[in-house]
Amino acid sequence: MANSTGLVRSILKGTLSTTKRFRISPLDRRFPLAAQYISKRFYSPEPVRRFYGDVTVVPIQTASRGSPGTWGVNLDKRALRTPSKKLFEVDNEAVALAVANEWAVQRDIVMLNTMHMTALANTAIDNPFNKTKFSICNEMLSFLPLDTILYRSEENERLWELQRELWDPNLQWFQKAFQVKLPIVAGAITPPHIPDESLAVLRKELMSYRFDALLGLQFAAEALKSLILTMGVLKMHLSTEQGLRLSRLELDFQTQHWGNVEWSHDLENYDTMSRFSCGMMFFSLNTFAPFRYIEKVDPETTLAFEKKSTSHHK
Amino acid sequence: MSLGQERGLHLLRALYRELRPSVLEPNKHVYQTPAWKYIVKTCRECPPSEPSPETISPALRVGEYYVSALRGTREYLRIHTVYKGKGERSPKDLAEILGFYMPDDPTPDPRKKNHKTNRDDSITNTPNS
Repeated sequence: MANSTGLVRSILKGTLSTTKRFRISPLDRRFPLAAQYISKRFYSPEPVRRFYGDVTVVPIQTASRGSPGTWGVNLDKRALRTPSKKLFEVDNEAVALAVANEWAVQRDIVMLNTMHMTALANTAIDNPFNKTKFSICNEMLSFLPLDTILYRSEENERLWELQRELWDPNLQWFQKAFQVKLPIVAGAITPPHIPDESLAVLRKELMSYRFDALLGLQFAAEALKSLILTMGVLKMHLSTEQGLRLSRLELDFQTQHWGNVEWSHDLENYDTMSRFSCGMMFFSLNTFAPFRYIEKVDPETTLAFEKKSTSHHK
Repeated sequence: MSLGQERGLHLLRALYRELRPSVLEPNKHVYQTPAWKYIVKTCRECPPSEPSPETISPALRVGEYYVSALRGTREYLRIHTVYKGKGERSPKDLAEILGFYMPDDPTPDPRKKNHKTNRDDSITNTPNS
């Protein structure tokens, strides 16, 4: 604990003081107590206040042949660490910059629940549940029968038409693009049965991505509650806003009829928007060439190396 | 100006608007931040020229995701700040509403033999008595 960062220290300090106050019995006359130590309930730890000034991105390892180089984030002069106290180190400068911006934007109180890029990067570094690519793929595919688009509501005729008009084209695109069959259900409790061949095709597609990218894709799909819409945005069949709007079809239908509550519906909408966008951004930064380091292989050097190795064997 | 260039310019303006709140120093500008310099460097390396409106370069795609993420977070915090609860009343405020006094030194150390307390056990010691 002596080597903890100021963040962890402040949280532990709050927790320890909570425990200390709770242990005192109000009925014991040897310890006359004020009501403030009995009636105050400590539901959550003290909010973390901004304890740093500058946020900078620093290179940890420089890029060289065969190595992308790594970047870290400094809060003042202290290096940012993950919840498992590992050094925050990513091989992607864009991810480091996005994380640094999240910390820089914080004002008086550090709102950790809005720092999705930081959370994703920490999860990729720590991997607290020891997940693998295969386990993440299985989790995403086990959620596929519960996809939003596969469930139709037949109570309301207008909603039924809307779902058919807006969701069916995307479902047909998905089935055509990946050569899979996904049945829909209406008003049923049991989820639809997806053929094993379809699951195998989708598993092969998902396993082609990196582990870090899959974490981002899973985060985005969970935010949208639909793998089909997430893949639609990924393959550029849909824009981000279209994907978000389609995932909220039933909710928007109900709020248009019964009214919109800003502190519930709009809050959820923007939370979903930020989560989905951060997930897709994390996926893209760990997949596509301008951001993810892909070593350029020089054909002449490769040929020369192969000639040299064969001549050595002779 | 091609469609891709127009879209890229629109995206740059949106990124500038969203990145402005991250600059807290009064003398510093968004153009001086490492994030903006990286965005400009990426735009120069990956010019957003597209053969058709359907295809989109990875740089543009990531830029649009980032604008959406920043906007979503900003709006979420705005609504949260407006509607968040003030939290529980402190026991002192509650006691004042009910008309009771709070003791001054509520947790004396029982290990000290000569510990003194300012606590008044009289239950009738209220402001109105």
